[in-house]
Amino acid sequence: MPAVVVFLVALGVMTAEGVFLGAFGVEGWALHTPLAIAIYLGLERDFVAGGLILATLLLPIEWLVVGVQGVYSLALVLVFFLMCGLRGQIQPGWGIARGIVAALGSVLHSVVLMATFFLMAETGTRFIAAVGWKMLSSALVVAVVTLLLGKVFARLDRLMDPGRGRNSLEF
Amino acid sequence: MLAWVKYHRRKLTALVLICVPLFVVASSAGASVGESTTTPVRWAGGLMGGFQAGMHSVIGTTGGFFRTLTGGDQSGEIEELRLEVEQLREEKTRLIGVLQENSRLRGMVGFQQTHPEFDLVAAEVIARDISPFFRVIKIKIRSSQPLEPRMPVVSAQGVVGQVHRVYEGYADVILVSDPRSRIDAISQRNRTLGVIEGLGHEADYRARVAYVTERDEVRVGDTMVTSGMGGVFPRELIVGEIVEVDLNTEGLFQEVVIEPTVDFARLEEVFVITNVE
Repeated sequence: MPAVVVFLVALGVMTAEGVFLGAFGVEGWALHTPLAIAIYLGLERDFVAGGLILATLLLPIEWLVVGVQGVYSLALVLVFFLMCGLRGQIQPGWGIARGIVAALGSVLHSVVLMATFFLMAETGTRFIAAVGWKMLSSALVVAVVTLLLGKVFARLDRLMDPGRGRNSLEF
Repeated sequence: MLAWVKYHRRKLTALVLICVPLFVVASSAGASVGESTTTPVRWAGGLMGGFQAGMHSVIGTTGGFFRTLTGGDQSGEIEELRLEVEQLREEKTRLIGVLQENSRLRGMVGFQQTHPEFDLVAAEVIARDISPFFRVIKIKIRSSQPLEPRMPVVSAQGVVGQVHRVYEGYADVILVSDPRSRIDAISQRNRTLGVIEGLGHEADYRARVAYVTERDEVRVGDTMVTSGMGGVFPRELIVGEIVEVDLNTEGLFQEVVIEPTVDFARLEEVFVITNVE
């Protein structure tokens, strides 16, 4: 799937999430799609291609998250680096192994957020508590959402690039 | 040059990835509420807001679309009657929706009438933030009047939050229960002062009242209103009701938790107060 399409689909998914949460008034159930997208890019794209897509998504992510500016995306970048390190070392296909890796990625994301809030002078314990309180439930949500989103992206990849991920003999 | 870039592409990608968030951190207002936006950001935010508003209206009509699909053409008297019942049910549902909207709008008009001193700008809630750690709504402004960061946002039920960032026709509003929110408040019963700080980590939208000393007498059920001392909110706007009081014997202050009077889960329309001195 071309990088532009990945960018547009990712942006569409994140925007739609915000609208759905607004329409149904269920803010506490945020699906953490930016994290799922970063994990997908880290596991499925090479470092340069995935990194550049993520770099173009960082500002829209900041606008959609409306968190403490820059901190959320900084943690996201670190998760992406971790996923790039794991790329090719876990089973292909969006199964349980990748779900566990996604959950670990979410925990890392939360830990980085808490560490950054700890270091920032103007953020207090409320910020750390807010992240800590949701850390485990987020990990679970991210695991499920990453698997679903990964399967959707894999299907789109197959549609646009049927040869991708298949070993075939060429004569 | 191109060969150099190609050779160092991995390092350059890592550098870009690290630098973008650090640049955002450096150029932002940190963890405080209210941030001015540059013109490109205003336009880009406006574009995304328009996209979200479009999606919001599509989701609003989805229910009607599915009802149309399942209705279909029917033949026979029973089918006609069934169809009629369905239509009547649909009309009833729509009527309830209209009545509810009417009631909400009456409440808002009532708010406007009881507070004629405020210049109010109406706005529609179109989306929310996509992180579980923060409590933010996105609003579509129904007026050409320019908004500023930190302007108070209210509804007929009470205080909603403060404007954080303003885009072209849209704005982000930090809710009372966001960890960044701090509102100077006072007890309506005995004028006990405190600062309402969002918790952000509760499943609901609760906040705490900080700096309530051991000597201050607060009770479950007390109503907290804005004190007007922070310079952001006008006086006497209802924020919430105290639901938990824990007299902390070790510390200097009591642990007081409030439930905001505004039902944020059902929030559809809000007002921005534009003339706070």
